Amino acid sequence: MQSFLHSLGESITPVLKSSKFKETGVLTPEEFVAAGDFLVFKCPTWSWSAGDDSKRRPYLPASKQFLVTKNVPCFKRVKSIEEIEEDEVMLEDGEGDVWVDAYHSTSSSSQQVESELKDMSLNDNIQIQPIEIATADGDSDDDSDDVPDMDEFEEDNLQEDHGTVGFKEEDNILKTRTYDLYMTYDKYYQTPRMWLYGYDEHGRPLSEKHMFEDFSQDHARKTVTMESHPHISLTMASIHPCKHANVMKRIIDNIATQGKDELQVYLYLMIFLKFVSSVIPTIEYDYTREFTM
Amino acid sequence: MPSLLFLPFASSAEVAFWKYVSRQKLENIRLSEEPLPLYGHYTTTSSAPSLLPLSSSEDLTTALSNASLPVQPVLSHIASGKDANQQDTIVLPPRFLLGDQAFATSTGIASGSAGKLKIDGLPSDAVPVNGTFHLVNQLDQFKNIDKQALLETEASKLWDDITSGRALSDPNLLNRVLLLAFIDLKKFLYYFWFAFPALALRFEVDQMATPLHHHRPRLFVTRLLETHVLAGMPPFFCVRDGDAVDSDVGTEENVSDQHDIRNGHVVQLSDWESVVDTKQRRLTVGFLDPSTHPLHPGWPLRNLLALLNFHTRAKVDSVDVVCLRKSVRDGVSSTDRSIVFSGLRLPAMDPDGNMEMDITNTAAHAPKQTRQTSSMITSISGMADQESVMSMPKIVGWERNVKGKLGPRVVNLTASMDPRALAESAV
Repeated sequence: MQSFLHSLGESITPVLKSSKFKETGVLTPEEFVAAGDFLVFKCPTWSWSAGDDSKRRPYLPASKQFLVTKNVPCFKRVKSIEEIEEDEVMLEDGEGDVWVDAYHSTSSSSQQVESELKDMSLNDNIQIQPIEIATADGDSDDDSDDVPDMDEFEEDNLQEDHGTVGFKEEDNILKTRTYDLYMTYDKYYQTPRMWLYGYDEHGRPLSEKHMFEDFSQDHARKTVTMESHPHISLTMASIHPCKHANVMKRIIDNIATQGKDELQVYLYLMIFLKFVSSVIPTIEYDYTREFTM
Repeated sequence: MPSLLFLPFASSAEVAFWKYVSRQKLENIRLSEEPLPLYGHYTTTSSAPSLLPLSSSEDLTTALSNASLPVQPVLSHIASGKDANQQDTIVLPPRFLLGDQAFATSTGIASGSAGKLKIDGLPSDAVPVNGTFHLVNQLDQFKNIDKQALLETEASKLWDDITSGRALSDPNLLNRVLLLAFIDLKKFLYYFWFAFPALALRFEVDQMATPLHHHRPRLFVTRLLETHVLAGMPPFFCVRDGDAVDSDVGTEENVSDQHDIRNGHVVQLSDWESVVDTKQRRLTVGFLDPSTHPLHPGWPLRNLLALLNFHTRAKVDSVDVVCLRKSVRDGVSSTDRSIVFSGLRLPAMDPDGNMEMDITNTAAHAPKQTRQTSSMITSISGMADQESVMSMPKIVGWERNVKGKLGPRVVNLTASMDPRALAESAV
């Protein structure tokens, strides 16, 4: 219902024509495209997609409907890093709500993970298990009943191959969760909107419950909701954009007061992604980290 | 002598792909079991996880190359060694991706020219892989179908592209995929099994892989990257290397300059003869490597080596392989993970003239007989009753399942597909 009202709202909201991003943190479609072009240029793991023709938005170029990056690794669950409390930055969004930007002011979450790993390697006895692989707990509760047992399908009469590196423990091949990330333009809120779809260590889609393990607990279920992707017929996790403009305005002001060069609009998505990383701190998608917030 | 080991693909079919297949099954495919063309991709532009610092993995590999061979035990040795940072050798499996554009781009991709294919919604250097989709109607069929025969049918197309020389001019043909699937539309169960057909020849390695930046001058790498882009970013290519131009330049004064200027230049695979080091009978080739492992190359190299083995034996004994790996982090691209294999020997002849590979005796003699002929293909196809001459080597490629066994996988997509489940979550 919510999404129906939203799409109704989106259809009657006029397309934003003049640039207002410095004043209010919102984007025009043209600015979204310009910022997207820059992102794709700077971070080639992102690319534009045209999506389904029938769902094309007329205010965006046909070949540049939304941005996508696929197969992004996610090594550990948020819960396991949220216990380490340090280095948090509070971001007020102007309406009294506070975003917690964990770990991102000086070091990225991944760098932290790295330093944790370094510490662990000092201990000679520890085997390679710094990364929590959530297979056991994930499989036990819900998958077992509705997926058939595949043991009987295994074949042993196929050609032996002596040239393959086996995916065994000692090969150090790490299986992780992966995420497909999408950024669409939300005409109603006039901001980018982030969509996420996750797969488990074996390439099976993650259930809603498991996906929420990868969202910051401050945001899960509040700002992150399951909704239908506007271009792809799938229900995905999405970071609700209602506060995006305010937060972006805040960040833009912060950067302005630091007396740096005036912020150009093509950097918008870079900053947006950085802000998004506070919601999904363990998903290792690419964006430049050259801005301090 | 240790042999070269390859890191297999980990396939990943998006839910959007299965959704598309389901609709096609109901609307168009229906009960037909005709094989369908299929298009997927892999990429080397992985966002390198910062868990795996590039610099230290280089150091590690250096440390490794001083250690003794063979490859496999060394790795496990490091894992327990205390000097090496064990986590540095952890790598992600190379991904093969199948999205909802798996059928849609059939016109754009079918037999495109080298590396010039652009698929919607993919990174610019994604390497397209074409193949065949077998969708069967019954679970029993899925279970009982002769998998080896299926694989060999697909591989015979590959072998045909190699022996005819088509793969030299269109290297994309070296990558193939096979997907066998059964879908239970009522229960939203998707049974599937991927195969990446590879010609399994045995290649011996004298030395372990070394980082490209240690093995070649910085300038070489820079030129390689520049000229690779100019060449249209082919997935497989040749590189002018070392004394490759020795015989050409003769006694000119600026011999050394000439060498420097031309080293690192990428040329198309079909022009391999122009970059052979004729003195040492050595050839340097390169490929876009989906693997990020410090020691093991990715799967696509297998078929490249099979191609070289078939076409270049008359002039080449050993091959240097540049495994070109691009990674991007923080908007900065890097090739620091690239590795080089030096002096990879094409399968040698034993004293009886047989190649050390699983092909028949007649086949083994073929390259010898045709060594003087520049166009080996014509001579072979011209020979009457010689169908078996270069018979297809052993074929491997079915993907292993979660437990490392040869077996299919199944996903339950009720949550993403079932209207009832969707209605529940859409509150």
